[in-house]
Amino acid sequence: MRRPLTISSILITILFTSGCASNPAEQENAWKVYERFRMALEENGIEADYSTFFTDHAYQDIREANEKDRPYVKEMLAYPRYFASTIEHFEKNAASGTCLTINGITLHGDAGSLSIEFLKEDGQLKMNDANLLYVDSEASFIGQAKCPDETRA
Amino acid sequence: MPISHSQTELKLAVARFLELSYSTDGTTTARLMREAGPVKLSVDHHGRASLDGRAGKVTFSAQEGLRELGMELRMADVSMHVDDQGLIQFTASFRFLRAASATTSGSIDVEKLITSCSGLICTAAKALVGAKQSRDRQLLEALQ
Repeated sequence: MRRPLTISSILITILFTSGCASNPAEQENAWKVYERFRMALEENGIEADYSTFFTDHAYQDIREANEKDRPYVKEMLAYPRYFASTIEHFEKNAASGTCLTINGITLHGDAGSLSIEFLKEDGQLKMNDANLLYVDSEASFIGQAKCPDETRA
Repeated sequence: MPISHSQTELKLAVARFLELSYSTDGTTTARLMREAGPVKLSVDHHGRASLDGRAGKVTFSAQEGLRELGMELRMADVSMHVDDQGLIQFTASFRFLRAASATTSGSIDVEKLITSCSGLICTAAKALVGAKQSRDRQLLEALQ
């Protein structure tokens, strides 16, 4: 009598868990962080402190930059400002964390797929690395989430 | 203000690196560019660069090209393959910061690149005002 109940409980637990994992809302964590970063940039400008969005490793370049180089470094880390428009995004869990790929048109008018690696630090997903892959046209956009290392030479 | 480097700037940087390699050791660079097979171009954060393949190796400084392009690099890696038609197919990755890099691919017409800026005529042209734009145009013509 106890065994069928136990098996049923396991099956229900598996179904419940897989149901949660396939919920798209649960898989948008990196995109939500990116969007919060984009909105914060729009509201507060480039000069504000965005260290909470980045891992210690990634933000080290801003901490180390002298006054002359800091604007360049801050702009290079302001990923949302690369794009004039974004078209689509994909997200996946990776061994090291989460990777987000955003397809769009850059301010220079180039088609580009930006892949960002997020790591969990202090209990939060933070941006750790990024690579902008230029493609020939929108038809060549990356059609799935990729980690930055997967899009380099 | 767009600060990320455009695709054209990245491709121009590859051509400029090859041009600097050519001006350092024209014989070996030309041999590397004409002999079919893989060739690797690397630049470190001091601007020290090397062009390495089966036909030999050239080490040179890429500082001048980086300065002209307003590019601050931690490193750059360019994987090239010279096909039997004389076209260099390349994929170039540029790392600007610990967390910012860009990658582009393209091809370069070897003959056009080598004749775009070499020898005394080019040296004289470089001394003229506006020569940089003219040289950029020549290099862009070699890029596809």
